Amino acid sequence: MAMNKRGVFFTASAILLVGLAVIAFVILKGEPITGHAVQTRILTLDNFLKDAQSDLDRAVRIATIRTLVDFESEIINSGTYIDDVLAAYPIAILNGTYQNASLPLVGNATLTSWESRVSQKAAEIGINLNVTFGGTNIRHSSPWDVLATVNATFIVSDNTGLARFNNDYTSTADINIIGLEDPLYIINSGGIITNIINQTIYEFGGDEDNNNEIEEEEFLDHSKKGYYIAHSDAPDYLMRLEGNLGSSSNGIESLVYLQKFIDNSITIKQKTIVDYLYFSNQSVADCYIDDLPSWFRIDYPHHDTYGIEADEGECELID
Amino acid sequence: MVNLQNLRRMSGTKGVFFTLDGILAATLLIAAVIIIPQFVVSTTPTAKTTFEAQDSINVLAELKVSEVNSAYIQSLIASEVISNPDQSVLEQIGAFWAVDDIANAQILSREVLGSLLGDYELVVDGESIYGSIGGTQVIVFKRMVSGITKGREQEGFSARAIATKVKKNHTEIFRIHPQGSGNDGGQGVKILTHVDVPSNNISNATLHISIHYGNSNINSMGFKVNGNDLGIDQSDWLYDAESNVTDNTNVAYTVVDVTDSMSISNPSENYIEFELVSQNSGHAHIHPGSRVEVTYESTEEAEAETSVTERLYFSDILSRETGKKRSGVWAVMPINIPSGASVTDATLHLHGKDIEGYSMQQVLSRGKGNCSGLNSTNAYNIRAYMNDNLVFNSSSSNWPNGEFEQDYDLTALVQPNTNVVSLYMNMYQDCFWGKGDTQLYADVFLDPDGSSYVEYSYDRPPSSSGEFGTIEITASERFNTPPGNDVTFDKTLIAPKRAFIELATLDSQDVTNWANGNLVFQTPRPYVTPGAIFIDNSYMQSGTNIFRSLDCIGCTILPESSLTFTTLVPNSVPYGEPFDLEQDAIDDAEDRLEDLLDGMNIEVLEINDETISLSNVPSLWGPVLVEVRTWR
Repeated sequence: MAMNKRGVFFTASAILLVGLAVIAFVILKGEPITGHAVQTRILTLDNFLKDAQSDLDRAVRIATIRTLVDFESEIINSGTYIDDVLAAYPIAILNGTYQNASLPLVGNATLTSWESRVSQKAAEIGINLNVTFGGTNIRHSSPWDVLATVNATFIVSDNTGLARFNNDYTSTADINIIGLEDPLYIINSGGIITNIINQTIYEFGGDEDNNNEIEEEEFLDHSKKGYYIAHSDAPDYLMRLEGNLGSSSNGIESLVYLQKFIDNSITIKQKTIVDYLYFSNQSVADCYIDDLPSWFRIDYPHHDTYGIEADEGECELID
Repeated sequence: MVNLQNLRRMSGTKGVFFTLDGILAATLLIAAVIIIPQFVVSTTPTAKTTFEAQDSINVLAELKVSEVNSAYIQSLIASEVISNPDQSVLEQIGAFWAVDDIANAQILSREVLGSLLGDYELVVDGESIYGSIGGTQVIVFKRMVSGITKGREQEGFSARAIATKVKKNHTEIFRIHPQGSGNDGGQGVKILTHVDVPSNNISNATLHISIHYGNSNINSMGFKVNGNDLGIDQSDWLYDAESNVTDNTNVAYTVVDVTDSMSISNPSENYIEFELVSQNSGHAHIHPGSRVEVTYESTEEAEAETSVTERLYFSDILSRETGKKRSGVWAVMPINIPSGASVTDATLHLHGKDIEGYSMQQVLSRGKGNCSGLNSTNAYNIRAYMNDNLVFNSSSSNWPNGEFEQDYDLTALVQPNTNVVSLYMNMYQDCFWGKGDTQLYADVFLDPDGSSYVEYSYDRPPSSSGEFGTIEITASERFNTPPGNDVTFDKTLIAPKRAFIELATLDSQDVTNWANGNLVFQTPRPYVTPGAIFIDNSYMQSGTNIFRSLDCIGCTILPESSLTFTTLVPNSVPYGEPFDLEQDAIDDAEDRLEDLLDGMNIEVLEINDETISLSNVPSLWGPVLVEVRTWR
């Protein structure tokens, strides 16, 4: 009898142990599934961060292009150059304003509005997004391209508090200036005449002997079409927005087609038609080019650039 | 396993063995519980589907379109249906969705996902574009795609427009300033005024006539345009009344349509002729308000000149003696100088004919009428003033054949705003002494340099920022105020540059004008009021402007008075919002420019504009969420 009682006890012990095992199973059963959910959630956050950063690159490009166009509109409307592009740029891309006035194009494409839209999308999939913008910069990466840089800090977290990423990111965008207007023409023609920046299709200077491969007609066409060449003595596009006629390693220059000024009853000057010199008060010795209109004058320092030779006061293209 | 026999022998330790058995069994069970799910759970259908969906959307997000191994997709790239093969498949699917090219979006997704997923649904911004839900437990993975929105291109065109020339109906006022004959002037006076219309496309011409005459029949007056008698009789005068100011004289005013009389073939050679015949008393002359308003089609261009030179010719005035009635002429001419301008030259060229060589005593002896204030020391038979400053006077008798031709430098006497040159030959005040004819000579075409004129030049400051990017538009508006000697006219102007008040008067002696409370003109000498008062822009403002004109008690300023104003209208509109099509952007820019000019109350006939279109202007569309849904 005593022995039978001990058997009951042993059986109860075994049942207890098995019960504990079942409970442990139930508890442990949830463990791998919860771990998978966390992994998936983290991947979702990571993907969202990548997508948001990629989208920021696009937003920086859009805001910068629209800012440059708005700067041109501002010049057209006010008749004055942009006062300090570097200082005006971050305010424009973040707030959509210049000198406290709204800029129409960038106004609804600012980085601030971008952050709001992306945060809204993030919320739709249970993600909290906070982007803080730091330093910005705009400079030329080549005579024909402007490089915009924006530093941003992304804080991305799951709205259940499961995970949180804190990431610094530098967004860059290259913007080509071909197709934009040259502010120098706008200001110096009273808003009547403009010139679209476009790379020339002609090659000046020609072969190794500096002989030109172009004729006078093509030289005139280069001026008439308002084409530009890169030239390190000339101001770059961003300097032109400020009315700065100094030199830049990314400088560009055109030859002012004065016939258009004459056609619009604008008094012309008898001086070199290299744009930044023509629109300046600077005096540079120049000469009229044989077989071209009388206003077609090129200063001597640019003769090598355009393959011109002077002979006893007369200038002509080098054949 | 523990031997039962040993257990029986060790009956005191049996419980221990049973416990060990239980522990061993439980350990095995627990191990099984822990290890087996690791294999079983990882291969459940839900997890597998989850991973497939996750991988699939990552493939779509990472794989470039150019990397898709599909002849069809490569053909889309070659044919530029896909313009950016470097973007991800996910972005391209979004781009197809944005332009509603769902078929290609489906094909592209199938080409990539077909081998990875069995059944799936692709959803862009909540819109299912491929597949449908095929199970009960849906697995969803989402990625964000930038720069797209339904129905719009990712990049568009933005345009602006510049009005280089604006063709409009332009009304120009040719003023016929006060002038006339001497007192009791003989057979009368014949005034020939040249009107140079710079267009042969004249749509309307109106002659305003304001005269002061004696007691004779008004029908005896003659008015011709290019030699054609206008046939004005007594009933054609809007106003014809006895003067309130001068006894036994009359004042009259009327407006005549002379469109058909204007020369189309030689619009620059139009002549207006006034023949104010012999009077019983007083002296016949023109009063302020006489003018020709000509409406013609014109092209307005931006004004770029900073140096201005103007030559204004006097009318040719011929006064004739009859019997005891003598001859004499007088005329006024304004010189208008903007504020801030620097006058470089002003010259009066005076050419008189049949000027008497009388001494002052002889002048006085021939005087008739009111000669008060004149005596043997000041009875000159020629004199000229600039405002109230004497330019010269003379009673010399050394003019060959009575012909007098001299230049006088007025430069130092010219002031900003309205200046008035007044000159008198063989007469002064209401006293007269001319014998035979007296002529102020002018023949603009045959002898321009020998004609009488004022010529002045000034430099004005270079265009200020307010003038940048603008085009000048001139328009005219009638006062339509009740007749009186004190009238106020309000006009809302946008960026006014200058204005003229053309007072239409009956009696008029001393006019004072204010613009927005600022005194802008006061008749410098009696009766020396020009046909138009110049209002410089410094006296005006954008918005409501108040112009007040005051004349003598008994004088009358008529509702036919007008304000002619020149405003600066912006000549361009800036870049607008991007459009998907370039032509739409250009049309929008042109529409905005026309709306701008219409808003200035300018009746524009045609705008010559230049549009600048900017391509590849991106828009901050989206982002949108793209989902891959799979199910178990």
